[in-house]
Amino acid sequence: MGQGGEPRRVRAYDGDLGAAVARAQDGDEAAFAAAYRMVQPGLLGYLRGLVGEDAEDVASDAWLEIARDLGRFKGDGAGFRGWTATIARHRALDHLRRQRVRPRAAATLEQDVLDLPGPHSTHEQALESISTRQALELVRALPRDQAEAVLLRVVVGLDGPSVARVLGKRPGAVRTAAYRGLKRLARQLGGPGAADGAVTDDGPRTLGESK
Amino acid sequence: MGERLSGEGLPARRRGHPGGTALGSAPAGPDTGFEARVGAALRGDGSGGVDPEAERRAVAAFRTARDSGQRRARTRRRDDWRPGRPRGARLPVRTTLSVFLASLTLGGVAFATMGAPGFDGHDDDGGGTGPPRTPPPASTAPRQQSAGPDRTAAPSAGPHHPGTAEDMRAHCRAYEQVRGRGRALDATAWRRLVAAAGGEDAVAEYCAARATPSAQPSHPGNGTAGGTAGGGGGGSDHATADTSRGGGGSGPKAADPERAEGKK
Repeated sequence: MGQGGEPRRVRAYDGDLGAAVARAQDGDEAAFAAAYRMVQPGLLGYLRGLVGEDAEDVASDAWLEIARDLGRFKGDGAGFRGWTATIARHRALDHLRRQRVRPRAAATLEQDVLDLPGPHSTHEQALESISTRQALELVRALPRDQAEAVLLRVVVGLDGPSVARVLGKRPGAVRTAAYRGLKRLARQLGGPGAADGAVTDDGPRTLGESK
Repeated sequence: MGERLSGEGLPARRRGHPGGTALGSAPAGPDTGFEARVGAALRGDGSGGVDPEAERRAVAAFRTARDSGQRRARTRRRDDWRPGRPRGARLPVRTTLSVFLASLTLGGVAFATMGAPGFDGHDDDGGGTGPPRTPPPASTAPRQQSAGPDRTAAPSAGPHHPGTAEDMRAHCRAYEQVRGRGRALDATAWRRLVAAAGGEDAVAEYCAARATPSAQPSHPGNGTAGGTAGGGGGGSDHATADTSRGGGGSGPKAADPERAEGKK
């Protein structure tokens, strides 16, 4: 229902992704690189929400495992997203356990937030980066289960049952967590500008500015 | 629906895109455009793709794995994401439950199979004797563990199970100690012993009969003196040792039969 267009948009690429994965499983290096480029942004976004600035390192570890176990994988493009997200999640949890760092540690977040806007120059990119910072901040301020459900659905682009499988929870619980998380995000994002109905106000305003 | 979709997806990705004017449909829901925007932001859609160095490392790992022949590894359950199994998350629960139920069933069958001859044998042994034999059902398993040896040993006096015979001798010795002490004899072990002997009065005789034959295999050197009449040094020593070991503190009545048997 509140799934929005994002997962569906991602799913539009899943046909290509599935084909690339199948070729990669047959040993096609270029196909593996293509699959990497399709999956990595979502994976990185998810990890950024989990481990902050260490997301790149964790993603690197995850990809080593993905490359190693690719022959074991069975499924299509959407399945590959779920499979890789599961691996990335395990690596992230390992990382957090090793570091004894809370997933929403303030220091890491601050660092991360400060780093992000750097490379952007144009007006549009600046807006983009502000929203990146906001989104990251807000998502990581959510309770863990809500944050993960939101990230897997919105950023990785998994459907409900896949999110549930990655998290090892029942689909109903995951759906509820995602719904609550998104609702809270929307409310908070609207906080500075508008009292409520945040997104409906926020969207057009941003649009008008950037045009 | 489709019109709404196009309204959500595009403006969320590129808010400056002309297609974004279709955002008039945004009020459709608080989560829609926002959800897409959060996704785009966290994915870094605006920051120019993936890090080529990271990609190079991943591809190198892929090459290594491919060249080392690990591509044909076995698919584990967690690697199977085929869409044919949408309830994958629930499958393990169901599988676990099935396995559990199956093990219960098989265990019950095995238990019942074990129990059947035990009851028969018991009836053979102590059929019609006086002592009350109404043990709780839970005690059936331990009961026929020793009921089996009883049955074989009593008629043939063959020491096929020295370990169990040893147990029985220990029971005999202990029996003499607890006899006359209130309800101790109600315990399952004693009831079993009494039932095996064929009555409370017959226990002493029963125990005496059991003490000797099992003494033979424990003294192989004495083997030529077959039967209880042998009474060689080994055999009688053993019986005496048994009596002295177990009968300490028991009345003379307790030790008598065994001693008599040992001397015979």
